[in-house]
Amino acid sequence: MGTDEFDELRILKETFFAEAQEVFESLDNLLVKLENEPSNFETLNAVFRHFHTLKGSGGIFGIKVLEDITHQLEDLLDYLRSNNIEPSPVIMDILFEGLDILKEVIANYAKGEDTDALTGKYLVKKIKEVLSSKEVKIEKKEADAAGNSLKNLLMELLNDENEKVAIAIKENKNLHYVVIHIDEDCFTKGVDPLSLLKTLDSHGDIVKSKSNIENLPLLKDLDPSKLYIKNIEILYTSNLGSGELNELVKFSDGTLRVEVRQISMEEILKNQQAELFWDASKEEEKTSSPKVPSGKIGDILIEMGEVTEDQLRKALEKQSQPIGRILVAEGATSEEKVEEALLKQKKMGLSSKIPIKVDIDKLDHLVNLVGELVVSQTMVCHNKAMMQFADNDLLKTLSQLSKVTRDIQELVMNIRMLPVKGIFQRMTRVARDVGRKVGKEVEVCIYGEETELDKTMIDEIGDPLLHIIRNAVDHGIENNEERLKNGKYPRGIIELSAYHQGGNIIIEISDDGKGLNRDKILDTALENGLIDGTTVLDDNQIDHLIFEPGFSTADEITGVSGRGVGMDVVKKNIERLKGKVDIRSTPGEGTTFFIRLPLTLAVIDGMVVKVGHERYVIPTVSIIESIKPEKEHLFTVKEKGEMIKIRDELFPVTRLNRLFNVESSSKCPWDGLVILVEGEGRRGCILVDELLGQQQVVIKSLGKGFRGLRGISGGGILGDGKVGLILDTAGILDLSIQ
Amino acid sequence: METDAMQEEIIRIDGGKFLTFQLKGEEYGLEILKVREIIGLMDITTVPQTPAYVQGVINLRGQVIPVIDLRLKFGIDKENYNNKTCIIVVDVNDVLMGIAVDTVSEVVDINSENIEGTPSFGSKINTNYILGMGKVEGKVKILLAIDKVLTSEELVLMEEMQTDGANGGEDAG
Repeated sequence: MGTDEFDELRILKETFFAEAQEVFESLDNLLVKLENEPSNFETLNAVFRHFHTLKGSGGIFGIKVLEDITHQLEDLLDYLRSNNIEPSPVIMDILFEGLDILKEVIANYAKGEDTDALTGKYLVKKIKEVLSSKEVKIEKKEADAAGNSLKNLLMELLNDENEKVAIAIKENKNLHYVVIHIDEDCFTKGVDPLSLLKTLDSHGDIVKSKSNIENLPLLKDLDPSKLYIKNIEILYTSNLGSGELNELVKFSDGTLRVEVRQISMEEILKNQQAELFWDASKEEEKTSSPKVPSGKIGDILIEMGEVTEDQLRKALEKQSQPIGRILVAEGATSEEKVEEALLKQKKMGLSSKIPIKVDIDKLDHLVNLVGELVVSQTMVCHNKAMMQFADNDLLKTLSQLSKVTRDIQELVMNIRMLPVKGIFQRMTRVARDVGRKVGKEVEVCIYGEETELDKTMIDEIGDPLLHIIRNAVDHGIENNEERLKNGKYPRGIIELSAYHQGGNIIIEISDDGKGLNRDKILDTALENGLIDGTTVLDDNQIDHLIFEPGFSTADEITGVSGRGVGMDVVKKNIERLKGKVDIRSTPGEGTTFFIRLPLTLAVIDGMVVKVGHERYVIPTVSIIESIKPEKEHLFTVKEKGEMIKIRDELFPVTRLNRLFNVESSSKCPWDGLVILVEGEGRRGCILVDELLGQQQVVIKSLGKGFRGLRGISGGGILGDGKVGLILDTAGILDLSIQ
Repeated sequence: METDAMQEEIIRIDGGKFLTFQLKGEEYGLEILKVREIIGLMDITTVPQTPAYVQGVINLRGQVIPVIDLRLKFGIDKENYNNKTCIIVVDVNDVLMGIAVDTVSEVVDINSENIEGTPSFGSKINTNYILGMGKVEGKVKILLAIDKVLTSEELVLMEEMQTDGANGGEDAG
């Protein structure tokens, strides 16, 4: 029992952390957006909503600091909203700072640590300062609000329950607005508000009630002998007039005060409730309120004012093709408008999908099992003995089986996929912060944020992206004056896009800065001994030098980037994800990074090679080419071992059979095949017996015991269910040097 | 002191069900709770840079697990695998491992009074991978503490691999 409760709380907390993370990502993005367009009140509202969500959660988990800060931030935002004030840079700074503090608070909470209550105190003070400069206005606003309260509630009640009200009016009943004020200690005085409600109920209908539970404390502080409901507002219909009703409820002694106000027809009419009666007259037809779009494309188009109901009805009569197309054909609307409406429709559909949270271990297990299912299925389908007796029926069933299996596999792989949206949004914030620090104005444009990537990959790609964005802002984008001088818009633009290309995901990061300084790159490379003065490099090769370890061209090391551990780490991280990074730069126009990633980490494209009886898998990304070696192209260089000459270039050759101690079937190297591979920027050749072909391989870890293996990155399940070792090309090149 | 500790350890051996198997005619036993499953011989992929007793890895329904040849691990001469050879999949501290044995015999109940402590073979011989000696119908079975036999961390031989790599290309062309 106790552990159950504990478990539930833990699950609740985990959900909360996950949600908070999402909220933070959205907020990062929204705040940057708000800063760029301070007049956009929709963004402001969205920011407000998100902070409000956090405040709610803070309340549930009793994180006082979180509640306090969000509350203050809400005050600030509310002040902006209600006074139509655009957030000033000072206010934006407060919001950003507030967000960062909240992140810290949640992170601490997740670790089980308390955040110092003083954290954020100075922020609260700042907010108060900003607000106090306009305090008078706020007070005035509050007074107004009090006066409007009754009217607002009435409106709200009427709006929500207009159908019931309409029926009541049709039946000539009176409509009353009843407010019951209750003292906290009414129970001890023997007064029970419930009996009053029952009395009311027996003489009429309570259409809607609303109670003020602001005073409700946390569960642990709750005193059951107290009533925390301050007041109850009721919209009441009855045959009784206001005098009779007053008589009925007049037993109050101060602990329970009842106010009754009859609402006249005029009052309702005045409150723009014309549609109330429209609804009432059509009540039999059960028409839904026109304010709520039904989600049907025709209704949306009507709502957009694009077509009339008549046109729609006509179209509906001959609906054999999509309604939108008919309407276009009728000339009622344009294609673009229908598309727009379709998009709206899609969004409506999306919002109704409720995701469920699943433990990632379970998912991985499922992925494993499905992988195994696929292998078993292939083995069944290729079983020779069975094929001999296979008739048409069996063949049909088998092909059905393989189709279903493949569908399942695809689906399961898809479950692990997440949109890159979150990580992209985080980058907008990074760019903004770095820009601030180095005094540049930067805007990040995001494209293809709904592109999906494997969850693990999303987690891993954050750091490389961060480095690239930092570099782009720090080194790529010029400062404002320089940009103006070059005829550029003063605000630098970084484009972040993600898209599919040939079974891979490409993430593109491009800035419109000054491009790479090739002369400086060459100088630095010479200085660091990365190149010797004799080799002639083309532009692209020069650009790629920045990925070499220990390379940095920044004149001075700034706090932002340029510690010389930037781009080589980026490259290494991406290669670890079985991806590739590429760069293209045009002086004066900007630099673009291309990160090519496989769709998932669970499967790689591999070339299966054979050495003796063993089969190995070489990841296709690291293969440059494979050639049949000529006897005269093989040399033995003293102290460097075997080398092969490929188009006037010498590469070291590693004989896989010797390295891994397996018996090779080919006696001499020229009987085998040489595969030119690349790993961590170095190239070399691997000698194998035979190429067996390309295959998608499910990657499996070999487990703890084999952690020390070098030159092997894991095991892959081959088509026949046997394990093939996946080669780590960089490791193999390392090994062969020793 | 030391003998006291050893005695205590011996006393703690609980009886129970043991899976027995053979290596070169000798009977051995494994606590049944450590055994996950028994599979027939399947294709084993050799892994380089590993000691000889590491036969390689197999695909156990999507999971890649190492297989250890218990004969080689115990220094018994290698015999070619045949259709009686079995792989016992055991759970060693939450890591699955396969052990190849000559043949699996049966599951037997051995009461704790029928289990005797490890005889001393002199101080030079390490016997801590032996749980005890179980007596069943007059025969003695060596009961193994399988987590002492197989430690998941020591499957890779660093030194061997390096020397192998060094003489990589001396006679080419």
